[in-house]
Amino acid sequence: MGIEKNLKSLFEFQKFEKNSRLEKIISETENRYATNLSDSDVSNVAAAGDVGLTAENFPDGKLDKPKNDKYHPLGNV
Amino acid sequence: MLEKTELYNQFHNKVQNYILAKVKNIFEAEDICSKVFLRIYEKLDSFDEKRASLSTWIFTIANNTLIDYYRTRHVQGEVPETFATSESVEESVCNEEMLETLAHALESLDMRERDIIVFRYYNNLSLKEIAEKIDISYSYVKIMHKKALENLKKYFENV
Repeated sequence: MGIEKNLKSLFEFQKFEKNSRLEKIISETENRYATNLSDSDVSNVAAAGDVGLTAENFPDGKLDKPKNDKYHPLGNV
Repeated sequence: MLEKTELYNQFHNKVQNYILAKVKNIFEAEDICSKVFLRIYEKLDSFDEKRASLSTWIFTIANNTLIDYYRTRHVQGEVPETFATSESVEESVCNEEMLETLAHALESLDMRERDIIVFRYYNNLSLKEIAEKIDISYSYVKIMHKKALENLKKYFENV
């Protein structure tokens, strides 16, 4: 199996397994080139406000499952 | 013999988060996750820890279930490139030890080489996209990418 295919497979497995050492390397790379938000980007984010994605919408306070059918990840749509 | 409840408690969030990151829809993710656990329970008797770790085995089942989902139900009917190949656990290089080895291998690279490998194979960016992101020329990215692959190949051959 080629090195590229192995790398694809291993990085895919990392998305499932979350090896902490590898996670740190990936975060460092992503943070190194993270795009800085402009003032207008920041105000747009603020204007979007609360979209309802809080622990209260989920059973047991966990953000992994909606409590009822009314939940939508984009809020009341 | 593995207990189903224990297995579910240990792996449910891991499986669901992985699937959710792929399909971007909580309801579809839950549906696929249920199918994954049904397959796990059906095949539990055939699990052999000598062939693969439990995590590798479950990851393989989750990926194969996702491939089925993309082939049969996805709107575009396309299987994403990152998991287009269905692998058996015997074929898979994916295990916890190999992730640790990959981390060590990446640490042995120059910072730029490491960044190119992460962006190419974790974030699935093209070399042109990487060139724009890290603000160096496309031809230089191609050279560094090739060099990084050679260095990684040497590293894996020597472990």
